[in-house]
Amino acid sequence: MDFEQLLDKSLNKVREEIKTELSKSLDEAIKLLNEGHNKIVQEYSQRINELIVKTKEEIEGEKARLEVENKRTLLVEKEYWINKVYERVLGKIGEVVKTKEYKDAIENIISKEIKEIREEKVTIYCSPNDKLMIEKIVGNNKNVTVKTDEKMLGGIKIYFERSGLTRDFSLKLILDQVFDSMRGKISDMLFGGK
Amino acid sequence: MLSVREFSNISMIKGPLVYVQGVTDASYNELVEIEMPNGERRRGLVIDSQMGIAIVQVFEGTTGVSPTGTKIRMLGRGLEVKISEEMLGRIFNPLGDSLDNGPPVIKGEKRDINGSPLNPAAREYPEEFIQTGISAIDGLNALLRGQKLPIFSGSGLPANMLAAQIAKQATVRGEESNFAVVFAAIGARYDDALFFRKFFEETGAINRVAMIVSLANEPPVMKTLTPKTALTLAEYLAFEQDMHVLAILIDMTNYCEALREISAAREEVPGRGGYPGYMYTDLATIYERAGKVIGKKGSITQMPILTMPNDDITHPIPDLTGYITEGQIVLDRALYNKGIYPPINVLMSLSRLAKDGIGEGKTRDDHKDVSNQLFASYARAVDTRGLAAIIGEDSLSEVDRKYLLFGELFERKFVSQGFNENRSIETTLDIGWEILSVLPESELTNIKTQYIQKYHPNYRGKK
Repeated sequence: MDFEQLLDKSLNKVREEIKTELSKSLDEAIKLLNEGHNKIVQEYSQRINELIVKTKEEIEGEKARLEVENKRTLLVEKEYWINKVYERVLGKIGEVVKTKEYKDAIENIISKEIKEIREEKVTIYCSPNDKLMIEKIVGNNKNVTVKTDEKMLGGIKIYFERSGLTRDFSLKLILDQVFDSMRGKISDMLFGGK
Repeated sequence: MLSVREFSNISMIKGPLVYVQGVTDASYNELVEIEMPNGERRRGLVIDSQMGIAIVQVFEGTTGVSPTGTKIRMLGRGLEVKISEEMLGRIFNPLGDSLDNGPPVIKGEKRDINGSPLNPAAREYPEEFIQTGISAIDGLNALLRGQKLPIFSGSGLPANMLAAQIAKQATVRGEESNFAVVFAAIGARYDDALFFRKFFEETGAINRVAMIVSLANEPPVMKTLTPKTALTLAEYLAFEQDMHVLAILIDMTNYCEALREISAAREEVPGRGGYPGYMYTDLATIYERAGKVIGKKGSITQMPILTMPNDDITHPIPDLTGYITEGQIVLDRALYNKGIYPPINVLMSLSRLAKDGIGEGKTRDDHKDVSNQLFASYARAVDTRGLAAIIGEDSLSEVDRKYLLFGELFERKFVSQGFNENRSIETTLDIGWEILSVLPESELTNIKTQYIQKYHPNYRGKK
């Protein structure tokens, strides 16, 4: 009786111990499994996030690239039409040189520039069309020579021999500078905008 | 009347300089056009005028310029560049010519690139935080709107990558749409210029970046003009278009080298390291073109990047830069060799204004405390490393060993981050807390208890 009781007791004890151990091991295994699962989920969600970020960036990059490309194409087109305006204005120089204001301006420049020189030799370059008019303005001043420059459309260039200085009053130069400062306004006129 | 004068008497050509005889009325910094016998045109500036001789510095160099048959045209105006918001998304040289096969700027404002100094009384103190997405900067050396914070790099260190990453990621929180980057590449190598261009195009940042580029093989004067044109554009965008502009100037060492080259050609008395004696003033005229102006919505934040020759922080370039700017971010070769990117040495770095732009209502309430604690703990970790090298790690106390671990984690987890990783300030601070949690709580003496209870990983989730 005592022996059987003792046996039962020790068996129960061992059973309990095994049960506890088993449940501990089970808990640990579940914990390990969960940890492993979480780690994998975390790792993959991180990778997925990275992929999403990368893909988003690629799309954004493509979008920005296209926008910039578009902007550049539009600007190239605008520039083309502004240059067309320039060519038309350049063609109108022929009309400007026929006006009285033009003759008065040339006369003013020559009298002002030549008044400042004394014995210095001076050469005035002008377009072939203006030669007669300029010779008339210069009169019989022996220090001044008038020469033609085929490339000039209008206006004059005055060369001072002693200093090697040329003062440029050619219409092309003035047009270039004025036109450059007007580009924004011309763009507004052609394509709208403030 | 347009005062254009043309001269043909060149008495001497020396390096990038042309000496023109018979000029008595040249103005200092007057723009000059040089027409060669073959019709090629170049531009230059009058940099000196004495005894009827004007000294002209030619932008494109003097190679091929002959004293006979060349015409020098004085244009009667200073160097002005047409500036416009059209320049965003595009690439230009410092003279305003396009480098991306596009047309020149059509609609814009012609501005003298030398700018004019800001009235000190009109300046507003920088107080708003700029998020660069880089923990070592945002967390410990925060950049503020209107601040000038240089990066001191060394040869071969990844300053280009860092600059590109900052340009891509930097943002003023809540005002993302009004943010622009003006990127000045000064004397950049061709592959560097290509890297920046491709990077901005591929990451979608190009839309808000305007690039002003001069290449390494261009004459020195082009390099000295680059930051000036870039800052002129930055000023226009900030103070006329109300934008928040980040101006990145890379590499200011190339700028100073160009300054030295020109100074030597002008036969000026050299100063320290052969650099001109006026380099401090010259650099100040660039660095001081940053800030906020009372009554204006926009701002210019400047991030000049320079290479310290031989990693020497006492070299005249970083030395003079450090006098003018409001702190510095220092890149470290030892960290770089450990494989850490970005290799920012936080102990050598400093943002003098950071304290005024972080904390409650600006970034996060615990920012200042966490920042102070990270600095203090990392400094101790570095000291402990020295000690461990002498007495061995086993002889260290338990706490000291934790500091060693903290130092390692700080470099590997906090400072180190991916080239494409853009961390919000919250993420940065959370990483800070995570690595601080390896230290015993009693060591966190720089952080208020309320923040420890609010943000420390041990307390998070507990009520």
